[in-house]
Amino acid sequence: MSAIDEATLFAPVWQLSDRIRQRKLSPVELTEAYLARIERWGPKLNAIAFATPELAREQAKQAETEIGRGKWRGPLHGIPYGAKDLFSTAGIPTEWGAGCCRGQVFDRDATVVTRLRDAGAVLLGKLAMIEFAGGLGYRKADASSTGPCRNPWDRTRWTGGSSSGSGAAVSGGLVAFALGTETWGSILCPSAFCGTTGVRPTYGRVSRAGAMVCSNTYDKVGPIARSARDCRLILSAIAGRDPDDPTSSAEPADFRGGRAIASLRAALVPLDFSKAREPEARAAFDRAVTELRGMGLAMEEAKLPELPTAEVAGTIITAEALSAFERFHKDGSIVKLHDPYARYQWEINEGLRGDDLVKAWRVRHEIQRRTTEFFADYDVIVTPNFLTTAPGVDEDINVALDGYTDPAGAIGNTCGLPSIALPSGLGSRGLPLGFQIMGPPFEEGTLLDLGEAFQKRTSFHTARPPMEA
Amino acid sequence: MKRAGRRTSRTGRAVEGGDAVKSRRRFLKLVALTSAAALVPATPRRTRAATAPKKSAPAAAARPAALENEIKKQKNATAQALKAIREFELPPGSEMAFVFSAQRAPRRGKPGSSKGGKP
Repeated sequence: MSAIDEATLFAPVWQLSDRIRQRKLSPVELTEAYLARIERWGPKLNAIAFATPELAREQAKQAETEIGRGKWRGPLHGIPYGAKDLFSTAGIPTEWGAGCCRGQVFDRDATVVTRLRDAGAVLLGKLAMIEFAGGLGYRKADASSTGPCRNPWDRTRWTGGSSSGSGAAVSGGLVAFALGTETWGSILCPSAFCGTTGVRPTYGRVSRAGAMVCSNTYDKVGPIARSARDCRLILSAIAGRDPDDPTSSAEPADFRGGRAIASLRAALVPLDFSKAREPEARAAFDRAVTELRGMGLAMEEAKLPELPTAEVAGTIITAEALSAFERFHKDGSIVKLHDPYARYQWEINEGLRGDDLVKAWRVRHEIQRRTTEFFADYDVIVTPNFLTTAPGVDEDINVALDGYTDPAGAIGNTCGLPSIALPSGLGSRGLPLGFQIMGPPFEEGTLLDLGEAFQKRTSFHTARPPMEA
Repeated sequence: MKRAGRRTSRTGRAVEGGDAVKSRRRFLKLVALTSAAALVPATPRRTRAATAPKKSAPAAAARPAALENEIKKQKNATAQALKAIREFELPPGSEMAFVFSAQRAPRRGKPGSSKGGKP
């Protein structure tokens, strides 16, 4: 065993795992090193909702004992991680980032937390998030009971949301990996702004049981980590059918991929760079495309199906979120949310009629049909993740991201499609930029293959934020 | 991130659209029928105020102008999205994106039946 240096805390899971398995790295020492970093950087970044040092020490000790006796549970055994504070954890507060849920404690673990515990992973704490995962809207980074989450690359900048703490904690070396969720953008956005690798899995791939419901038919659970290879390991541990979540898929949790990259055909959707606030956005995307072509990926420019997808997504998500958070509206505690307009969402959306919602569901079917047709011609979609770098923590997000309608995110989330967010360099202010590769349902293996191949050729994902000593 | 001056996604991504027609009475009837009670506000609002004597100014009138403007903007954004959905043409009877299925109940008399055993 050796003392834990800072580089180890930024190492990818697969490397840590190799060292732990070979008993060259102690899970107990690794956990202590992460806890010390959490204590030091957690408050500066507003990344941690609750640290769980006692549980972490207990789990780390158990992992070390088991591995010492030759019982190795798998690649996550002894690996410390953090979970977005919307996954229930028995006896530990789960406050959903919302002031009106202060002191909320559940008596059972979410399925993903159970699966990670069974895989031998070590829970370091619950990670900060935007209140109610943004289900009732927000326009500033401070819409969270833990305050604005600050970006390790520049603490005057935001991390993105709603899995804000997940992005910050991975990027800042506070955890080896994190669990996040995405309803629309909440894994891909913090991944882009924090320079991490994130996977939004196919809807139903990972159980939502025990996770806060924001939008029943849009919520997905996925990993934020330091590499595509890490994401593959994490997904393999958490995915699969769960009787406690009727929407979970029975598809085998097999993420091996295996298709030859040269046999794949990609639709290149470059978006309108004239609206990019970040001058380096185009160069970073072009650089990524060049690398992908160098890997043998055939690409041609294509247009996504033109449908009112964003409107459908917004309408269905809103209706589902209003229902999900109804009790806080009824009991009046909704006023404890930081966003000043969240409490008015019921009034704001009073024009939404029942037939509108049914129509939205019918249009969603049409969007799925047209998207399925699109994937008859292409295996994956390659497109920028954002056209800007992280906005300032005090900026109005609507202003900062003005003009970006996120067509890929609207289609991807409406159809429940998987996507991987990959870093592609730094922008003009030294802040991360990224792109995404999206695929048809249950093709995470192909996306992970592409991500891994890309990261073998590049080092964007290994860049560390300039956090002072 | 979501809706402010304009309708946006969880990450503040903007959504486009046009105007909307409000039909409060029909809406309330529909939500009652479909158990979508979440959409019914807890505080008294226009439908009740219309029949009740005017004791005081409606709560909305007491709100600061900036807040009122923002709420109006967000309402407009919602209306724009609804307009886009309402105007989108679909073939009559087109399917929804989810399928309702009836759930088989255990037969009376079989193990697990709540209605007791066979006589």
